[in-house]
Amino acid sequence: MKKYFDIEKEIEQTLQSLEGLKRADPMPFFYTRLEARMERELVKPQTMSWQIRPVWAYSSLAAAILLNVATIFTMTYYRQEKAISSPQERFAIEYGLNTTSGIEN
Amino acid sequence: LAISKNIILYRKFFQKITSKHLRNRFFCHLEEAQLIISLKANQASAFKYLVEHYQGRVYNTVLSIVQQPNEAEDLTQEVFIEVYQSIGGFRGDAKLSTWLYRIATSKALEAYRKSKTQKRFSFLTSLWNSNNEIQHHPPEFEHPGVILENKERSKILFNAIAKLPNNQKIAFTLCHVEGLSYQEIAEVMQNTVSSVESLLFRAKGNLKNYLKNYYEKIL
Repeated sequence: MKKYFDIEKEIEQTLQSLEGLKRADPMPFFYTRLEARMERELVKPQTMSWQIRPVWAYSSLAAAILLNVATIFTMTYYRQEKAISSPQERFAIEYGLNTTSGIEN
Repeated sequence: LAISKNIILYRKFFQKITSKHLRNRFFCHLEEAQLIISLKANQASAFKYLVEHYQGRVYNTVLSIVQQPNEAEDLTQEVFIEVYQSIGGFRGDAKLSTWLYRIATSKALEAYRKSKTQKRFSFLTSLWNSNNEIQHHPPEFEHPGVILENKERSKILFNAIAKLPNNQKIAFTLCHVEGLSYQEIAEVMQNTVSSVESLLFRAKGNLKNYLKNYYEKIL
């Protein structure tokens, strides 16, 4: 019986242990730390985000396609140039002459 | 500066014509309205005022729920970051403090749930991190605001509070740790006053059961 009353008394005292509780405050200079975190988390991603903006992404893609097309055209032109290698052949083509000789025929 | 000058002028004018009680209520409301306008205009001084004015309330609430000082500080910072990011959408239906308590309690509960999940799988991880600090929460939490003679009992009580269901935990913490009225708790929890009373009644009953089991083992 005594134990029951002891337990009841302990429970009541424990439930009342929050009376007179003072508010807990964060460590000093909380605002400075908050400001630093906000700069770290909110400002930096904005400076990086220009790379993933649609206008930049589409422009970069268009530039890459243009460069590829230009390269293909240039390569084809040089291949044709290489095919006509000797100066005599170039001269004959320029003046519309037949390059084949009578001896060969 | 312009806002504070306006408030001073209004205050001087109204001091002559209204009763003290009405005057105080009017100026609290006016100052909060001005603060919200300044916050929406992204004024750094207004944000600083908000943080310095409410940091204690937010930290105390979060600390009592998560029961870990470092985590409570992180969460308090997250609460203010969220306020900064979403103040534009704040309609002013509730008081600023109510809104802050709402964000704080939801963030604290979310963090508490995560830490509980981590604890469940803690047998897979080391007890200490690379800085030689305890990774998982210590078993007993000591609130720094408790008076000396109640320190030991409050540890037992906070241990029991941690075991309460979420709604009861919030209601009990806001009432007995933060000292809010039933009406204010109802606004924070978006509930009726009678349901808050019921939550507090059930919370007290559950705490009594936990404490009874505890003392039966040790006495």
